[in-house]
Amino acid sequence: MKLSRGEKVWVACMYVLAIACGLICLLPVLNLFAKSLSSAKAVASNRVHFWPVEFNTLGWQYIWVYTSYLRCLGNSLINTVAGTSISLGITILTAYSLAHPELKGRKFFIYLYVFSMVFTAGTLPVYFQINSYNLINSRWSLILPHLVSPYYTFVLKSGFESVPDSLEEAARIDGASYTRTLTSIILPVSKASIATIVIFTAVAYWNRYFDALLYITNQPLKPLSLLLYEVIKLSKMEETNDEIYGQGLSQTIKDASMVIMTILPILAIYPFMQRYFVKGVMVGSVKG
Amino acid sequence: MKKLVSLLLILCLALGLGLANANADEEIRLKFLISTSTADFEKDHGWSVVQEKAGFPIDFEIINGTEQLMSIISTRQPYDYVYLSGANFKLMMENDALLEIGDLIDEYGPNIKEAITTLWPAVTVDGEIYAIPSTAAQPDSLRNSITARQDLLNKIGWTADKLPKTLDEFTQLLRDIKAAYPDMVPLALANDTKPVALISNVASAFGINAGGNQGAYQLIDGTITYIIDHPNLKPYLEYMRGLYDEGLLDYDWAAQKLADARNKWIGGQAVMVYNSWNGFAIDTMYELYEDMDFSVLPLLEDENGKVHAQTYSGVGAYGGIPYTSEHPAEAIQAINNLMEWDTHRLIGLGVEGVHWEYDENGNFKAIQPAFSEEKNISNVFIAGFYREDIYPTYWEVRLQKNVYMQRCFYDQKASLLDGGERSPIAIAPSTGVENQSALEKRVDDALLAYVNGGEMAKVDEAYEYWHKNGGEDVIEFYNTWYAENMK
Repeated sequence: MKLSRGEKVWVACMYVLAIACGLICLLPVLNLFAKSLSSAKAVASNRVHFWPVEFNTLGWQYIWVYTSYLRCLGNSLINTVAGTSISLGITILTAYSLAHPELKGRKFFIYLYVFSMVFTAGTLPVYFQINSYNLINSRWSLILPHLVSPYYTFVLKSGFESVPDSLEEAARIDGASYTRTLTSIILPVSKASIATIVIFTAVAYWNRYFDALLYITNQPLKPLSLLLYEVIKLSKMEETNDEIYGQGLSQTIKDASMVIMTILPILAIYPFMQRYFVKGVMVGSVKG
Repeated sequence: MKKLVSLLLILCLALGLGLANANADEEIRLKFLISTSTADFEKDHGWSVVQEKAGFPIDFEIINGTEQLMSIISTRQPYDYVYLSGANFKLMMENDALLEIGDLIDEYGPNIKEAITTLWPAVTVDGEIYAIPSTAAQPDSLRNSITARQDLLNKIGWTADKLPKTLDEFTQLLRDIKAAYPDMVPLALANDTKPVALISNVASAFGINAGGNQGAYQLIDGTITYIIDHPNLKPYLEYMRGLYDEGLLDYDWAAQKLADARNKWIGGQAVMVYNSWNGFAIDTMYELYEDMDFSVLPLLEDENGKVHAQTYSGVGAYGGIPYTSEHPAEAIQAINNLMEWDTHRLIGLGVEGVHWEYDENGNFKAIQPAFSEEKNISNVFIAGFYREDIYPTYWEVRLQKNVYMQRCFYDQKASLLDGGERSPIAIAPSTGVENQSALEKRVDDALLAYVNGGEMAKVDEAYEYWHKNGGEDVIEFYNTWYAENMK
């Protein structure tokens, strides 16, 4: 297919825009990455931009040795894996039911979900709730409150609805139960939507710190996001930072190292999920 | 037979219950909420000392912020001790959430009474004691002062022995810097150094005490006043405004935080910076700049040749027992044990010969790397009840981690000469008056705005606002307190 001149210009503009937006997101992260692996001298003299100058790993070593990084990393992994798996199971089941018009009271349920998207309880009522279930200082306080996201449920529901009825009907005629239809027909063709939700949910679990800030006082349960919050916060507090000075390291490098070491593990899941985005959703499922 | 079996079963059950209860009585575990730390508690030497010496096993938990504290209090969770900043102490008092502990200290706290000498007024409200006052770790030091790149000053004739001592000399210094280094900011300033808008070195020349940690309250002829009522405030402001108009100050003053001001200085964009001795990477500057040297500027003399400054002093934090505590007496006993002379040293400093030793002058000297590695967060376990009589001495050992920081600290302290005074409200109860912080902020904002090119009308407006909206109550509160406790 040949593009007209106007279309070519249009495509070129799109490319430029896409690259510019990508860079806007990428460059600050690259800058932090470069700072975290540069010498204090290079950082102080503003010579570090997007590549480490006078490479050294002091910042990373500091976080690794002097903070509770490993323990927090373990906590974040557990919370994220458990949270994402349970959340995914619930979201799939809910979305599958809501995607079926024959579900009785479907509209009512959908309104219930929409209601909870619009109205949320404040911090304190939720805290009281969590406390009444004896979940303060429990891993579950970080997992349970976010298991169901109405938004992702609707995203997945739309995904399920976009699967042609004929596919599901064919399975039903062959005698498949709802469960069988879901696992053998619907899920395999909805991989892309599910992968999207896995990533969103996992990243949200990984990054969430406010819950831990409220519900966790037991140090061994601290997730990585809270450690990041503390490293940055303590560096800003004049009165209490007895513990951070004198390591021959600049604060900027410590902060940058902590940020990078927090996002790297979660970044690692993207390559695994990438292939689901690239593949077409419906490739070869309905023919003729 | 059946009856016998039932009887036996009931007996067993009763015995079992009795035993279980007896066990519960024996094992008391205390729950302490302390300031958060990025390192694992159990790895620190201080933690093991506490567990061994407190007399009770203590579970240390972290407090992340005010929201969390208030949630914990409102859900009545049974903590036995809580570390409190000044603001949180105030909040706890407003919510009646702290236990009155005077009697408990009388009964179980001989070490506590012995170790704290002057700070009790800070926690005494209506004659009752509501917390243990923990001394500021660096009492009688200067918190904020101007630090200069001496290497650059040397090149324009302002050598270390000729640094400015009067306002005229200071103005001349700034002009010389501006002329010699037109691309650099002569003096980097931040909007979050307290008291806001008051530069200790300059304020000194106007007889205004600044540079401490206690806000802008001044003692004039035996009466406490807020800065807005200081007779020399306007001359000070006008002088600073003159510098601003000449382009001798930092145009980002009103917008920039201390970290940014320091980065300007460290990165070679500023010749001087107004900041504390703490936390900046002077050693990096020694790597960066050939001939690098720094100096702390003197406090400028007033017309009588005297210098003035507010020292860093008073209470640094508070140790309170929440009203929900299930073991208040045991908590006080544990704190009392941890404040015992030798135990306190073991936590604060470590083991002689392992973490520290005496130097040739008989002062404490840190043994590295053991001190940094094993004692790095030891202070958090006792942060709400430092011994007033000795902890500051232990604290100074921490300065030895960085030789430049140490020099900066002592140079700043030396610049006080005989002009350093504690704030008149240094040990006043921080419960204060209801809208006090809002009032203070209004005044501070107006002062900062004026020295950054704003209008004097705003300062006058703030003056009116202060007096009409409760400022006088604040002043009355402090003066009444002062008359009762300090005279």
